[in-house]
Amino acid sequence: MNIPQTPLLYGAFGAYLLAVALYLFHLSLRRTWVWRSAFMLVLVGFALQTICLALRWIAAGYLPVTNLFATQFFFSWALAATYLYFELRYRIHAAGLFVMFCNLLLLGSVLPRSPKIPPLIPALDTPLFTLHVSLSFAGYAFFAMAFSMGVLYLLQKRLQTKLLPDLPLLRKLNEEAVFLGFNLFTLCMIFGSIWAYVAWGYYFSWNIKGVWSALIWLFYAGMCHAKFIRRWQGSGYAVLSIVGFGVVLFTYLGIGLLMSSNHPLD
Amino acid sequence: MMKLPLLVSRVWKLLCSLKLTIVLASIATLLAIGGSVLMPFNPQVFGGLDSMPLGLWIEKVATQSPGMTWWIPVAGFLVVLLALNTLCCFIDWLGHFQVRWRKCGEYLIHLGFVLILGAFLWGSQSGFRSGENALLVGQSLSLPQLGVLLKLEAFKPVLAPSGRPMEMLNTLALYKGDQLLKRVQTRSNHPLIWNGLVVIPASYGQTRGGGRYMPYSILTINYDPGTNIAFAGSLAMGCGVLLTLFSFYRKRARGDRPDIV
Repeated sequence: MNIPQTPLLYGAFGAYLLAVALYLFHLSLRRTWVWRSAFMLVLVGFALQTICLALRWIAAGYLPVTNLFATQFFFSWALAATYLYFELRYRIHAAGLFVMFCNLLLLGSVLPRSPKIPPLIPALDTPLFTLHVSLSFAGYAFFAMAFSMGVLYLLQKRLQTKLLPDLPLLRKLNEEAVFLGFNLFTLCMIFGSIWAYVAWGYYFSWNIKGVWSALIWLFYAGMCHAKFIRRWQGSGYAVLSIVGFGVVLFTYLGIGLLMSSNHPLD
Repeated sequence: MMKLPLLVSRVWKLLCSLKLTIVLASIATLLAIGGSVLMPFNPQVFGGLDSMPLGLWIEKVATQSPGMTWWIPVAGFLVVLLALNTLCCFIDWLGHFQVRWRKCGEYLIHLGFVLILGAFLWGSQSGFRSGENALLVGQSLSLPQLGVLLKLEAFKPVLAPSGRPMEMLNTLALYKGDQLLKRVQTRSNHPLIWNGLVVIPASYGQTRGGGRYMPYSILTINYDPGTNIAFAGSLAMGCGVLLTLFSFYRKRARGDRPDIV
């Protein structure tokens, strides 16, 4: 099956790029039509990315998330979906700019790579793989959103500007992103453990990727509790969201690219 | 002198404390982050962690390199304390079930964590892992720890056109005396599983016999008595997540989530 991947990928990238530019414009201009246009462009980009993902899935016969191109592409798609979730629910407009900017970086950095879909090795030929990977990136996307909200919270606290949502809303969005990310990541860990058991004979691997994934889970489990402690509310929680996403990025890219692990990306 | 009921009450309060949860989770996370950085650079120490139960690794390997490995038992101890803290919270919640039943999802996740950790500790102490078990078709392997006999009844490697092994189809039978316990055709992601025993086709080789080459299967045989409990924990955790999400959106839809101040 011949997939028109290049126009879809570049089309999505172009739509996101224009959307980011319009959101930046909206920050200074504050016109309704500007954010509406930006939002429409995100929708267009997301639709193109979804079509591309669906065509790749149909062509491969499995969810293609087995190398760096495919995982970054899927992560970018999950980030856009997360942004849309918060935009539709809370009308965050330009507050989601940072996430869309991360999305642009992710998608932009995969464009020069080959989008060729590698053949699936039998060990990955299981629905557990699809569930494990898709839930993992869904969780990562919410953690990225929490990171974004954490940065904005600290900025808003310092600047007290009307350009950003007020502090209670930013805090609420941060907590919701962590909560949803943690729940999705928990499901990812469950399916991953079951898969590890049937593939290797043990449900927890001491490989560096396994250890750091468990640490991500423990860290965000701690965060889900920290929001109930007054001292950690607000700024403390924002800082934790930033640190947590650092751990997530290291686990995904740092370990995947720089270290020998059982989750290689190349 | 503090009265005994007061002391018990204070200890219980500490054990159920949210602050204790955060302190333990934070220290364990930081310690493991620092310690695990050593892992990829010292495969001679940490490389065997997956090939044997943790208890055996600590006894045989970690004691030889205590400077590099001390963080594993310490972080493990902190996680056990965290599980104790989680269990106490769960018991405390059970005691107030009538008024806090809406938190079912969250506390199922707590219970799942405790069950999985308990199962892992049990398996780390009482299980075994054995790789490189080479069997020709018709050969058997006794597993005296479990009192069972594993027999390879048929074996067929499936190769890609390039000659690369793609799949290993093993027909395995498990016997207790003359009684057949289980017969399974194993392949990737479809092992033989029986009461904590798991047999995985890992690789294969060839040997010359009777003037021709005969393929033999290399099996990984692991036993973890806590597997079923870990699975129950995963189930509790998974159900907990779904209930928590359902409850979260229901509360939001009803607007009964207290505003953040």
